[in-house]
Amino acid sequence: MKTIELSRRNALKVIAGSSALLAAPAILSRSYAQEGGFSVGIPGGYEKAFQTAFLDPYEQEFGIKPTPILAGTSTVEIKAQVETGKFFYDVRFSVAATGNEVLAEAGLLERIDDIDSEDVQAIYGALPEAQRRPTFLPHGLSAQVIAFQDHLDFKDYADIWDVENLPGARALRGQGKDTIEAALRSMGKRPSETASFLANEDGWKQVFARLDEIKDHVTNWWEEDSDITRLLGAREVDVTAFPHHRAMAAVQSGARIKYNYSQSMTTALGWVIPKNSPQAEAGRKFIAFCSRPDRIADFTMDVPMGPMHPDVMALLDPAFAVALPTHPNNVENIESEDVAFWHKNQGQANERFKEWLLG
Amino acid sequence: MSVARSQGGLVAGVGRGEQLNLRSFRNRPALSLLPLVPAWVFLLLFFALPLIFVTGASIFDESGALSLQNFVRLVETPVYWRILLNTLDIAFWTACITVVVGYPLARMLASGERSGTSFLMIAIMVPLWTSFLVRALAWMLVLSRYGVINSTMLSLGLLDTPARLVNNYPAVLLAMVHGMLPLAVLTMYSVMQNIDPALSRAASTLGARSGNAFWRVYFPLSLPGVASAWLVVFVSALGTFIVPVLLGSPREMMIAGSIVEQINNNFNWGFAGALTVMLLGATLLVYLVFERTLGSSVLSGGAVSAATGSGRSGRIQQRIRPLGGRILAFVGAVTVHFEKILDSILGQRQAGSGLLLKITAWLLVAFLILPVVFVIPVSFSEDRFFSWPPVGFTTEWFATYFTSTVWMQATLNSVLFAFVSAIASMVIGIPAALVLARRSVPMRALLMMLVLMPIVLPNVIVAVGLFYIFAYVNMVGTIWAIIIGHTVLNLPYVIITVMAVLKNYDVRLDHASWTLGAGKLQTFRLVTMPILRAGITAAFLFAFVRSFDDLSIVLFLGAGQLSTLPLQLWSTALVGIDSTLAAVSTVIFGAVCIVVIVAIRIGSKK
Repeated sequence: MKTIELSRRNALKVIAGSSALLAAPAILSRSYAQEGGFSVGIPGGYEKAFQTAFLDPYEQEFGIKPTPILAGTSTVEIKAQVETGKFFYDVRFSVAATGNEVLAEAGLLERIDDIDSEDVQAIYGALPEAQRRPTFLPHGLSAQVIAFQDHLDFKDYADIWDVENLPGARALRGQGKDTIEAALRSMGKRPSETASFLANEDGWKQVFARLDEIKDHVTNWWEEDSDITRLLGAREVDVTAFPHHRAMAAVQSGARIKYNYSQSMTTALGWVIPKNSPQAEAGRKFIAFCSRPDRIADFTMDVPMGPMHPDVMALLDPAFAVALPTHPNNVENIESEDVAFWHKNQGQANERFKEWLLG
Repeated sequence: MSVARSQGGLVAGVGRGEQLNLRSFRNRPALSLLPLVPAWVFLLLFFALPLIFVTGASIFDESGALSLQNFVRLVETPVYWRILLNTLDIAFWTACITVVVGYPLARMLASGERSGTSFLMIAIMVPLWTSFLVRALAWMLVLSRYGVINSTMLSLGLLDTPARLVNNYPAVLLAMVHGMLPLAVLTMYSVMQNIDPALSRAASTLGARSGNAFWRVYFPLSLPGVASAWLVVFVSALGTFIVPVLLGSPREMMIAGSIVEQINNNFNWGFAGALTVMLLGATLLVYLVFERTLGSSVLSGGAVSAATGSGRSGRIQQRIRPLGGRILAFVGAVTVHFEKILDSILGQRQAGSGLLLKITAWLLVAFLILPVVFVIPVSFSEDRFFSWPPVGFTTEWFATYFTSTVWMQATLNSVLFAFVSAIASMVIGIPAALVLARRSVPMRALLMMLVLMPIVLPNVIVAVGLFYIFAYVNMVGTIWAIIIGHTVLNLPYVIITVMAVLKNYDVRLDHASWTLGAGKLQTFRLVTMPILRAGITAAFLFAFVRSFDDLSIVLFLGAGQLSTLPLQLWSTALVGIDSTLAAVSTVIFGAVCIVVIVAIRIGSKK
């Protein structure tokens, strides 16, 4: 009986201690220290780079400290905020171009292409007409590279499919879009040809027939970039296609892999502002600040996405810049994904792909 | 003695205690159901209502008009039915294997032998406390191309090329069983702890060989534990998606992964809702089969319906019960036969089966603990990719963890949320379990389903739904929102575990206590609580750990302003390439060992 007494007393003490913390009213609810304060949603893992490249310099210049908020991987977050009117961030960093497509179509985003800033307009201006979106300002490019163990040599996607001459454990993403695109590359199709090639059933059949050729040689159908990075680093996988900035980080961390930009498809990542965000104006000012070439250059050095502002490349160390997808050396090899096509077909393509995988 | 007699009665047929109890409460049925109300209201408000918000999206099309198109598409797309079947198949076999494998461990724990108990406890606690992500990575470490097994075999010259051990069905089952074993063992253990050892001795005195004494006396009494362990593991396995992605091949795709995929990659909220409805429908179906055949008779309420002869389940069970008795008698006879053979070989009674049980148990201990043990050297490795063998020696990852206020604050937050939400779910859950286990409750199946659902669904569904509710009352981003969210996740484990323990609880003990002048509260404190202690401890642990492992609730309801350990681990692992993950896992490993050893030392001194 004594043990129960003892533990109960202890438990009470702990409860009393923690309830003091709990009783503090709405510790987490937003209360801004200064006028004009606002919050920025940042995907996990980028906090440090974001702090040094954007948040600290912004505070130095304007005396206002934006609050960094850890954002999830899903855009459902923005939908929930807009629909309930409870915003936990006013600006969101690093949404994929396809994510913008969904959110914009549902009317969940503010227009930001009218921000009065030379830099913002320079970034828009550098984009091909078809890729400009009023609710989405790209801050960087993620490019698919072919990555392989350093004792091997894969020159292009056809080599990944050449299982006879180039044996080894292949890995492809377990998502329809990425892997169908990889198959199209191996057939010599460019990203801009995807929509026309897949306009009829015959095209789809050809793609899946091509995928049939490699299916048994794929040991890992990975989902997350972090998983494939680990698999490559631990030499569990011999060759795959994955984002260039991951490959660069892996090499920096000691992975013995090589990569190249041949037939590289790119995805733009960018800023959005949730519709009706109470601090939209502050958010626009912040986006303009973060679009300055020197800010982008700072961020790029930590997270080496391809800068999309034409003036950034000149600010970077040439030895480092040459590895980026938007460097003049590589720019010939890269081409944007067809955002509109994939927005329309992603769901169905993925279903068909999963069915093929299961079969 | 009275415990023994009532248990005997239960095995023979209908517990007299329950009959008596039923009569005394029949006069005031409404009042006796009162303790159910908090749990009921809580789940309706914080689970059912949010769920409607989320699944509600499924009955609209893109333009916002009412439409069944999501469900039509679901019915017409065979791939989701195959994934659903996969899910059921994997969950079913995981549950079966886990229960069978866990039984001897639970039995050993319950037998209360001093030697090895603390080691056994550590072995069970370690996987329980290890984050699901680390567990999956640990198995990859063991099974992968250049993993522990392959590199050892290669260096010993037993293999020429690495064997393909991972990305297949067995690897998924192995990792699932490993993760679920603690859940099953502790659930069964808390029931077995209340089985009076005098019963088995009595059977021996009356001439039963140990095979018969076990199968015809001990096993039927432990059945409520077995059934609820199966159920808990089954529903927990239904909601898994990390393990099949990392360790399986596409053939092991599971439906929870598809739901998350619809939300994260395809941005199709409506269809995610439709898939959620499908998963819940399948769970309901399995649960009804479980309830109609085995479930209610062993988990709860069965004795009541059998006694009154009312309800279809009662009748079905009346038919099943004698059949079950005959099966057990047969199994007992077979075991005794083998026992005799074994005895003649070893020439000694008892030694054979005892030794066998011990060897099995130690093998299982190795299975439980080894994968996580291999993470320890990795946490000191200079290599950053979670690879084997470890390279060099560094304490960098530990330094990252211990010197960072962010990590420390995250750890503290995790402990706080887990502790408070575990307490909250016990306060709400235990009274509900008392009623659910003992009385005939109207709409029982529906209630039980509501209890089980939060386990089945991916956390992100609960999180998104709760966001809408809390936004309405302006609670998003408060600590309370997270605690309520976690309590929703924890509550099912508390209710099911406590229900299982209560099944063997003799209500006449309460009656005796009342007769002797004790009040209701006093009786609960001095009589009921001590008997339920193992069950309540297990329930608390499950609740704590479930909260400790959550990501989505904190991310959504904390409005991204607050970090917990899993959140910090996740966001670090997302981009960063380092082994902090391994270091944190090693720290938790050490902490668990210390806590278990200290707890057992204190326990044995008393």
